[in-house]
Amino acid sequence: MERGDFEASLGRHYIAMFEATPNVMLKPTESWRESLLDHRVMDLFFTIGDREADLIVEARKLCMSSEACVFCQLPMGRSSVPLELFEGVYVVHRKIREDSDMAQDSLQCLAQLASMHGPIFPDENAQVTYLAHLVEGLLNMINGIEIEDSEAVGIANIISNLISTFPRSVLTALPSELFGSFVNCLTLLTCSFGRSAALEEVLDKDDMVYMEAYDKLLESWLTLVQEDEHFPRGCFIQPAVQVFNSYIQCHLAAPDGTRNLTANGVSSHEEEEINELQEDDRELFSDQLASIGMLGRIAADHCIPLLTGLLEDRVTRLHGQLQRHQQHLMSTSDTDTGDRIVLDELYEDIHWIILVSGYLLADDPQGETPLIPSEVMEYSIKHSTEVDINTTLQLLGSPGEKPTSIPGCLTNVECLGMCPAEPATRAAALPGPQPWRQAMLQHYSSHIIQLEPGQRRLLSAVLRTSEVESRATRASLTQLLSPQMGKDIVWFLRRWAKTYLLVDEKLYGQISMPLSTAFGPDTEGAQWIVGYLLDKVINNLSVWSSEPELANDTVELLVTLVERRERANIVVQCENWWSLAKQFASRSPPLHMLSSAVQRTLMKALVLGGFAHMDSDTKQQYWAEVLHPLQQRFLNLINQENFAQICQEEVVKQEIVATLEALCGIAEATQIDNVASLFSFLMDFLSNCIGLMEVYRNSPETINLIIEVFVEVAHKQICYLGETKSMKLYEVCLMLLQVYSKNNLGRKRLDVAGEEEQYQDLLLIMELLTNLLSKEFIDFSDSDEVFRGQEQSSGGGRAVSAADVVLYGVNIVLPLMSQDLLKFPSLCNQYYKLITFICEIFPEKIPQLPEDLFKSLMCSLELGMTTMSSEISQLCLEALSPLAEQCAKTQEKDTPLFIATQHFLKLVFDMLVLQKHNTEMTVAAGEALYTLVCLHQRDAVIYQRLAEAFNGLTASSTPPTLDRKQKVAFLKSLEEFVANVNIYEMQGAIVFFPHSDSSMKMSDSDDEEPRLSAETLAALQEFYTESGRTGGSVRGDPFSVGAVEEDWRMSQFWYSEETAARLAEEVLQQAGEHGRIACVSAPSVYQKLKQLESSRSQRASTVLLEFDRRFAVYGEEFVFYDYNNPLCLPEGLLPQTFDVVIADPPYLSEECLSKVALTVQYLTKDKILLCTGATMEEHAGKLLNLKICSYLPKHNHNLANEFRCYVNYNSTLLS
Amino acid sequence: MADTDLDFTSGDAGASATFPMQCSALRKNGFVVLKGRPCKIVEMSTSKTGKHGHAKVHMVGIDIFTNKKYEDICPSTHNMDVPNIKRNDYQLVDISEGFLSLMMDNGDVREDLRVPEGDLGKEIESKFSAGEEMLVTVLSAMGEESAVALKPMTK
Repeated sequence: MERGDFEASLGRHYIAMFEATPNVMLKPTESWRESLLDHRVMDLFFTIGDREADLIVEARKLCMSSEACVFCQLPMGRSSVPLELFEGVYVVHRKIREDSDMAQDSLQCLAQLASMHGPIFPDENAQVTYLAHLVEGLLNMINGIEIEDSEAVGIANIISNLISTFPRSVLTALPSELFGSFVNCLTLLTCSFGRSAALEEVLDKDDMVYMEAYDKLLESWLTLVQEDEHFPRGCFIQPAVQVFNSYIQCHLAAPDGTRNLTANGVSSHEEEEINELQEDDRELFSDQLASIGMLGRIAADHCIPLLTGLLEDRVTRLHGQLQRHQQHLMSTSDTDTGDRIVLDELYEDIHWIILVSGYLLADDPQGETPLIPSEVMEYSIKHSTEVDINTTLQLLGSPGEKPTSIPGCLTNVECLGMCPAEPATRAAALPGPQPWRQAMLQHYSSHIIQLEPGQRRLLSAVLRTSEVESRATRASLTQLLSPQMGKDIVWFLRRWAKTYLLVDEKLYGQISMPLSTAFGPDTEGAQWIVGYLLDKVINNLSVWSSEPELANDTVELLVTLVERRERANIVVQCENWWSLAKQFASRSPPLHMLSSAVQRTLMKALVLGGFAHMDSDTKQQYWAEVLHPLQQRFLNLINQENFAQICQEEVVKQEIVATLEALCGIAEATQIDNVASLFSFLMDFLSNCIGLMEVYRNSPETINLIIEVFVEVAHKQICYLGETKSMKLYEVCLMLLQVYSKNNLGRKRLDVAGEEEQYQDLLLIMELLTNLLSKEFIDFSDSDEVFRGQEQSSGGGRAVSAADVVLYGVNIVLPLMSQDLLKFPSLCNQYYKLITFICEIFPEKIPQLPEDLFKSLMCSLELGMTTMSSEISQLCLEALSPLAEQCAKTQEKDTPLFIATQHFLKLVFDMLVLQKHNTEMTVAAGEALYTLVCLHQRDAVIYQRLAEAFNGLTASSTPPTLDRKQKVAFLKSLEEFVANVNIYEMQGAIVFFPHSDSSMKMSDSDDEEPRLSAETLAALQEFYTESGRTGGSVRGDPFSVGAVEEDWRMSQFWYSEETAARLAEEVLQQAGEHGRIACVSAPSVYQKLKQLESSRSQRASTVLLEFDRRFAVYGEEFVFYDYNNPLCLPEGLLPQTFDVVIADPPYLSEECLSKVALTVQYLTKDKILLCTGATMEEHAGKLLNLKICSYLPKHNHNLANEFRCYVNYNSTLLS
Repeated sequence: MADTDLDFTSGDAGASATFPMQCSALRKNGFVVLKGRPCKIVEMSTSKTGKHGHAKVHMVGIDIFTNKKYEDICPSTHNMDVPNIKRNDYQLVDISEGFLSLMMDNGDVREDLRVPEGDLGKEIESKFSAGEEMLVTVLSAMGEESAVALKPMTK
């Protein structure tokens, strides 16, 4: 195996790809089966001498290249798969692991091998053998070494690749002993990485390698256990217990745990400032927690009691601690409570226990109704026999029993004696004296604690924590409490309530009796807990109004309680729900102190609650107390005679803002069954809001809020609206846009340095337009259902359509957007989302746009495609197909859109074939390309080019048509084409370009002269030099002026044919026979010179100094030149070696000229011909002692500036 | 400048100069008293000391009269004073000895406000001498008053 061959065979393309995404999966083709077995390959690994480093490089390359073009030709004896290869790499790794860089490579190599899949395996047996070998080697390696920090991630990668790549059936087919030790090893590794990760956190390391490795392993566990039915039953219980325990241990304080302990047992306790941007642990570590929760479920028998015990213990301690503080406070007036450390440690313990419990008991409750995890259900059923249901019910129904096990029931216990035997549900609602109510609550929670085994006991432990917290707030100990713990509690309760409260038995095959009797529908337990949760919410909102995040979590809990009808039915029976509603409607304290986001969500909850089951009187009364005050206050205010005068007053503004916030909340509460009434209610406001746009046009925050109301209404409601209703909404939106555009007319947005939030209004408007458009995608409206009896006859025709509104909006937005604004990610995303939507939905409207708008739309598409993130380019590519289809439909050529699509065709082609691009985009780009090709197939030249290029990939010779089957086939072959074909080997595709160029010339078509793109030329050049085929029978005429397109961005303007010829003649003559000519930034003269040279005998050697690398096609005669570094020239260019130098400085400035002059003086023996603006005469004389000529050079495109030549010798140009 | 007598003319008699508000309920672009000065809040952020600490609010405000910058940090439970701010438009009738003569809605003329310093003052003077009719917006808060803007009469 010669290394050289090897290297040459590897596409640079792949190396680049590999370096960009180091974790590419290895999917070698069949041909590898043989090649990887070649004993010579093995030799590569076993002839380890002093060249280990090279070996690794080789091995890595081996793993990267999936196209084994060299190998497949090798004669092969086939056996199974490259087993020896691992041993090779494992051995290599052990040898070189001291060198961390090389160790990285070898681990990466192994990770790649661990992800091997695809056709290389002839059957499953081969896969099993391969995997067995891989695992064995891995175990040997891990057991044989002490893992270094730098190896952790690499090893985790190997395991994670292995688990995610190999199907379960292959894993289970492993010899059971091997599998056992693999699981064992994985367990130990996970625990040890977990501990190291915790240590990293304590030490506050920048580079969290163990954390990364730990995350990876936990993720692998999740993959493993999620399909554990494939594995022998119970095989993961012990490992799960171990991993779970170690996680808990790492997160608890000493003595139970090791939190904050560094290696030498020193604990650190530093309070750092945490800003609001820092994510909560439950989000930050959500992946970890989800895995741990899953493992906890696997080993529920162990983990649930463990958590319960720990939490109960901590709560008891917390309670005691708080009491000590209280006594301390009472005995001294000293407010300094001193020892917060103990409390904080307890809070942190509780924090983690609650988080783990939450993740263990319930899944992430986003979207669908979360189900009770089957493991937890099984656990509960298993333990249900231990519960005497009758006793539970009996005890729930007789609160007179003395609750015993509540730690610190204290002062309230004696009150129990006076308790009448009330049904539990009324406890929360009764307006009794505080201690009494509290005792009731405690009483019930205590019973739950006592009687519920299993996971509900865990709930009650949390409830007890919550109780301790609530009581502390009543005892004015709020200062001592942790808002973080408060958040954890409501977060847990919310997660729990979503899954467990009022379980729908229909959803489960089997249900635990205690569960359904305790929290099922129509149970006292459910009523009690709802009442309790509501109390908790109300208490939190008054006590914690100053903690925005906690208040937010609290109202989210409230939303959870009312968003499902069954729960809401119970909620609205509670007295304090009503008082909460009244309180909020009257904006009385303490609710008005909540932050605006919280108030908004609170409004949402109150509205949702209004749709619970109530008798009609009650319902009316409810709405009269919730929504009507809002409307009344608003109308009273804006209809006041002196509103115009008082509108700017702070109080008035606040009122308006509060109303707008509430409207957003109401819109957010929209559901399919309440949209009819909410829409009518909101519409009344919307028209008034437009008036406010005028009033508050100088107050951006109010304007933004008004637009936001529209955005929310459109977002939440439009998909349910029937035709008439949508029309109404379109109309008000149009009015809004009109006012907005009037107010923004001529508004300057020049402040480039401005902050993103200054453009909030623009962002919101775009969001509104996008929302309106979404109606075309998602439409649930069924006017008969939703608006029964409300829908008027939809006569009168469609007054306004979504298209009108949106295009009107686009007319406003486009001029306000600028390239600078696209630098703001949120604006950029929203903008492209919007224009892609428009192209997809209303392609027929695009050609009707005013010309400048059309242009800027096309420009931004191109910009987005070529310079933005891959997400944005994907959006732009998606926008192209509908545009091309539109063109195809109208059959009109020479429309601006048609011409634009021509341009895009070229762009997309270049992007796919010639540039490094993200593989994710292949599909989108392929689709766009396909439609574009279809559109332009009649355009003979382009079609010919593409047809040739894609001969290899489109098997059929029929011209492409717009049919789905062909499209899919095309996409598939394109994918293979792009993924497998290295552009440098793609001779056919590249060579045809010059061909078609010359053929073009002869055919003398009217079409725009086809030109090579910069990339094509560069690729060509590289291809020619690589294949050693310089000199050009194949070329067309690369030396014609204009063979390279002008790029005005580089300030390029080509001379006209005559001028170029005249100047070329001039320098040839001045250089004389065998003279040397340098063209500085004058490529068209150079091109002409080469043409002349071939047509006559006179020979001169010419060099082109040029900034534009497209001219690199001219091979060695091209010298890269940047006038900013005038003397930065290659060594080959010796001073004063050119007979004549012709220079055309790119810019008309003294600075530019003076720098170019340095170059010119360096190069020339004497003669100088300078071409530049007439205005430069003085400088030309001063710097280079040049005289102005009377000859007037001309350009292909007329230049605004008068152009002249200057010389320092006697020339015919002078006269 | 601060003359208690003026309270009668502006109809503000009895209205307090400030009212309290819990720190957490303040919002950006709202007003607050920082270091005894009425300010517009231009920046607001919260933080806490340690994971289990209580929220603190950090505010940056710009004095509405002097444009000076003030900062404050306080527990989010604290009550802050919010200034009662009034904005009135008066017709400019004369400028004499550096004082503006402004006509109020009831026809009375007050002559106790100085021509503001800086560009605004120059603009007022030049426009006035050019004979333009205009309204001057006067901001008042916490017993302090100042002309802050001008706009052409709409008639």
